[in-house]
Amino acid sequence: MITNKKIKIIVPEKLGLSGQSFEQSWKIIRHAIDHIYNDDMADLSFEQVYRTIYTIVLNRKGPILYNKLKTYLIQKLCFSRETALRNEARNYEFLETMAELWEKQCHCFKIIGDLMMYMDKVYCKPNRHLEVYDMCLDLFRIEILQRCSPSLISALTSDIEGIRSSGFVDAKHTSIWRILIGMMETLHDNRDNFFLTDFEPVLISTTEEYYDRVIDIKLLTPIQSLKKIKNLKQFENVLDSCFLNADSQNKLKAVLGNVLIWGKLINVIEDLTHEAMKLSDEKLLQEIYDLFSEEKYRITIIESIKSYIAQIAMKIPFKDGGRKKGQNAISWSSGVVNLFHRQRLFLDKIKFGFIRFNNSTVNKPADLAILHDVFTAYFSKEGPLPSEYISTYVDYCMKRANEDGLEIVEIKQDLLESTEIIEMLSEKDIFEKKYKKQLSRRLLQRKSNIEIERWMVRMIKNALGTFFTSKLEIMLRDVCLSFEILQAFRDSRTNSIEYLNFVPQVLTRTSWPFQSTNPIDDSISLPPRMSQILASFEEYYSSKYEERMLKWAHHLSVIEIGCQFNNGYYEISFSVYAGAIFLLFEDYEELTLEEIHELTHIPKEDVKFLVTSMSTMPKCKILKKSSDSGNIKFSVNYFFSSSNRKVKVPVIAGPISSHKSDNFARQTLVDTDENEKCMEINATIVRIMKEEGRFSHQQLLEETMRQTRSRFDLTPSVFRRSIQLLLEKEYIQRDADDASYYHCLF
Amino acid sequence: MASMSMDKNFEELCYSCRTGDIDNLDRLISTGVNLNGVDKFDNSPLFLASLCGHEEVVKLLLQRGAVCDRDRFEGARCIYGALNEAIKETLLSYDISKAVDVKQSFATHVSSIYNEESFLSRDISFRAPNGQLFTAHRFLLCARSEVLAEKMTNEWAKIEIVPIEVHSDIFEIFLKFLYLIPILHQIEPGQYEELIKLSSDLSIELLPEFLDKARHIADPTKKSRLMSDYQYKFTEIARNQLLLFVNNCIFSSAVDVAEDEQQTTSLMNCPAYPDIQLSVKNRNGTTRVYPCHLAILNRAKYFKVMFTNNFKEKLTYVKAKDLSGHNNGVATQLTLPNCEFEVAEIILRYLYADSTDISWMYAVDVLLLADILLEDRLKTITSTIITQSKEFIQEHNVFDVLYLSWEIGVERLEQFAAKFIAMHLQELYKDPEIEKAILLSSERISLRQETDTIELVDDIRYYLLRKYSFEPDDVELFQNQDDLEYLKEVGYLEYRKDMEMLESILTDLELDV
Repeated sequence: MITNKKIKIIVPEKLGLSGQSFEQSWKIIRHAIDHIYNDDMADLSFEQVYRTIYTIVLNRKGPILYNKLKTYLIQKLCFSRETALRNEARNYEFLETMAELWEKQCHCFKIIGDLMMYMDKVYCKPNRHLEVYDMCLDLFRIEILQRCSPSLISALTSDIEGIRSSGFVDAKHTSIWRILIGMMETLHDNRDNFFLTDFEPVLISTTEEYYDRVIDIKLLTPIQSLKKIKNLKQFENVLDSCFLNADSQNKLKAVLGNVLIWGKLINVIEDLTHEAMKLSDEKLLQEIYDLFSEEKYRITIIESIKSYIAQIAMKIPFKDGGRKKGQNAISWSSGVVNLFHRQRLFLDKIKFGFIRFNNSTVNKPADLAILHDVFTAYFSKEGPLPSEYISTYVDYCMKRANEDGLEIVEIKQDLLESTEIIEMLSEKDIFEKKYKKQLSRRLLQRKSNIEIERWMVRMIKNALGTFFTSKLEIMLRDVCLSFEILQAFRDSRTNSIEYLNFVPQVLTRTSWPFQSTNPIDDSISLPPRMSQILASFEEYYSSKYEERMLKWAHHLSVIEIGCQFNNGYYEISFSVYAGAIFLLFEDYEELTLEEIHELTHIPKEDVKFLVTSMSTMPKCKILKKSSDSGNIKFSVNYFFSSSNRKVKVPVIAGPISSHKSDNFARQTLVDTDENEKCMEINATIVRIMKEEGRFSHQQLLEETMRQTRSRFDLTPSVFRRSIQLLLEKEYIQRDADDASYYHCLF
Repeated sequence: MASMSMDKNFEELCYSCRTGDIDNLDRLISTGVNLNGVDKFDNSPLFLASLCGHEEVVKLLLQRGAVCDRDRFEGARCIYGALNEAIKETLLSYDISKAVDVKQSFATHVSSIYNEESFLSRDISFRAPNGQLFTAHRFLLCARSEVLAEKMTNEWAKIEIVPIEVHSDIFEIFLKFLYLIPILHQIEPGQYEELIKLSSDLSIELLPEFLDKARHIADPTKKSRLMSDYQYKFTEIARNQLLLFVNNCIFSSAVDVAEDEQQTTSLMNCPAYPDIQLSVKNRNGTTRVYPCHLAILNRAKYFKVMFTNNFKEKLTYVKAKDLSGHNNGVATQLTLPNCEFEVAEIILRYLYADSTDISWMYAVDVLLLADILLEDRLKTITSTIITQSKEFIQEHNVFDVLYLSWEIGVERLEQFAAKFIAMHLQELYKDPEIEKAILLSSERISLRQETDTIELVDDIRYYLLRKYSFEPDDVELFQNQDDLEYLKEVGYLEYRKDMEMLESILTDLELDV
């Protein structure tokens, strides 16, 4: 049998301190605890106490020891409570006593825990009891903290309030608070620590009340309020960082935000923002912005910034009674460009951080997004006028290149600002129309620098997209191409006519903003030298581009004639018609209107207008009228004189150039725009219906709006017109049962 | 299948460690891959991540339980293979913090006493030419270098501050080296010459050899490999040196005091340069006093805690140190619980030199002593020795072993006992002790709460299956079989016999399990 003659393993007797009764052992332990509490450990042998505990635990007396220890510690704690905390005062001394008590007890708990570590390991852990140190803490919680908690909480909050009122962070106080809060955070029931369950809510609410009480914003100016609130906030943050954990600090920050900033300051936020904007004080604005860390409040600030800029924009005058439309346009536009430029420089300095805008301008930096919103709203409120004005402004800048001899760089600088404005125009179509018209005029009359024009079209392309600029590009191309053709044409001619400087412009008809050619152009008979050269150019051109048809648009052309008058030599520029009439006087001394009509085939009405303009206008009175027995004749006015060498015969209101007066010109522009819009909408609707087959009115309206948004704002009236048209042409049909639905018929 | 997918996961894990794919790594770790395994080139995931310089990966691995044990070759390799200093720091910090909790490993502890800034005494100082002062422990220097030991018995015996001629930076590296702090990678090219000279003068084993090799290697990979190889060797050498020191200086200086005598001689001037006297009383009533060092005893939690608070022991120690410097006066006297001197010496060898050369004869006593000293690692090691020793179980009653395992809470031993009982059930069947053991085990239920089974019975059943290499499914299968020849052949009949014995014991005990 293997069980025989074996070495017996006898555990407890061998290593433990044998022969002690439990009572004797407990006496030793109690003695040790007493000495630990009296901080008199010089005669206390760790070895002895540890081994006593070891023996007890080994003898399975752990539970008894654990309970005895508990009872004894409760006694100790009760004694401390009775003696140290008897003073019921709710003041700083009370806090000090409490903190001292806590630290002392912790110190003792720690040493007792160390002594008991064998019991922790062998008895407490396997039996799921709290380890001795934790058990001690729990006793402290029950015996001291819970019993004193109302006094403690009120003493602590009132002390904190006292320090707040004094406005001075007293390290002596905060260090006591820190100890006490450390205590509250250490002690916990099964759920959460005491600080979280009992103290923090009180702290938060008292803080809230305190700061709500401490400042009355109605008595201060916005700037003063800001300053005061900033100081309070800073003070509280510094104070909190002295005694609270980061989590609670953040909670209090939020409370401060609630009470001070959105509780109080929010009422004056708009005033504050406007104030900062008015002072152009970017530091102040930044400060305001940073104070409001929550997004919704930041958006309020941004809205205030917008409203401020919008206010200024509204003040820029659209019309100044005394001035002409062009001048209005220029002064308004430069006002807008200037405002934009200034605000952009200003806002650029503000760090907006990440902020979500509620519209489509997400990809832009915050400052641009703000300006974009402001100006877009402003322009769309003003209708088509801003678009025309801006185009006119560009026109003005362009012309300055030739007139004032400004550096290209400077002009580009001016234009650069306006390109950013263009992007924000609501009526981009109007802008395009107007721009095209003005560009054509500049190009044909060579009023601007072609290089800048090209650059500008590129900029517009960047801002609006190719869609808007394709025709402008063709116009520029035509002009350049014409120059090349002219060169080639001249080279091809052996006997050039030196005294005639012929500059043809071959224009792509569809791309230029002219209705059609003038009917007179087919019948007019020009002076032979002119018709000759036109004929030879036609011949040259058709030999080069066989399939192209060339048609002369005299109403767009200009003739310059040098002429010696009695008082000097003048270069006079005419419309082709006027020029043709004037040239007649090379061969005739005097002519009646009837004769002029016969010689030129220009309709009588037009002849009358043209001759009148040359004979009545003081600046270009180059013809004189003589009446001979009711027969009115015209001849060259050799006494004509002018201060300028160059004289222009204006194409004044007459039946040829325009059948309508200037006042109606804009109307036409808008009209044609409406028509084109209508066509565009028709096309869009047809596209949508082809895809959908059946669609309700509302759906169709929304979808069409969505698709055309990039070009113009669709108004329901235009939309209805379009629908009506399509119904008439039987592209679509109303549903037989539900009239709000449409069917596709193709 | 399971193991195959595990292998695949491990491969993927290693790959993620190379590429630094921390998310995938995180996922793989959650599948339960062994983080401390090695691939076919013997590289551990931690080594790969360190080498490839993925600090975050290294951190994650360490957090999830990858071990960087500097006392093992693999750990040292990680540290020296680390691509940058930050990773090295991370590894070292984990090595130390983990080690304090669970391992108290040797090199880490020796390193830690270099920086220990508490009241612990250092009894010798060196003043470098630039005035910088280095303090050290005589006993450690003595153990680490014969030349230094020699000097201390002669010219340095009475001096507390020794002036040195070596540059302070060189001396610092050297001193750290003696304390096993891994500084090999910090040696600058310009320092080799002087270090070689210093270490040769003091006849430091292998260090000159290493330095000579290292300074000619430029390839960082080769160099780090060399360093890890040597650091491991250095640690081994240091262990041997300390073991020699324990045997030659501590044990040979110990004095015996008979039961009724007073100790007359102080050990404070013995060649061990102690600051503590540790006395042990054996069964015959003789007391033996060993000259020891608190810096080393601290490795055991028992001593560490003893000196954390201001108990008598600490006050005496501090007073003795303040009063008398290093070599006279009374020393603090600590006692180990009564035990044979051999047992005390095993403990000391373990604490000083990580020696786990424990004879089975003393294993039980060592276990009990380790339990008092709260030295869990020693308990585990000793239990392993018990379970692997053939003689032990022949000389001991298996039930005693079982009770012991319950007493000191070593599960390994509990399993060992249960297994032994299962294997020898037919012999032990008649032993009344088995019934007692089962009863005791059933009483322990209240302590465990989770299950209402008897752990010992469960364990025995489990090992009975193992005894016949059965799976639980097999038994079900066999129950429906009636081919007796076959059942006999596979061992089911024997198994059934064992099981019936166990059931009858339980029936006797009227236990319903």
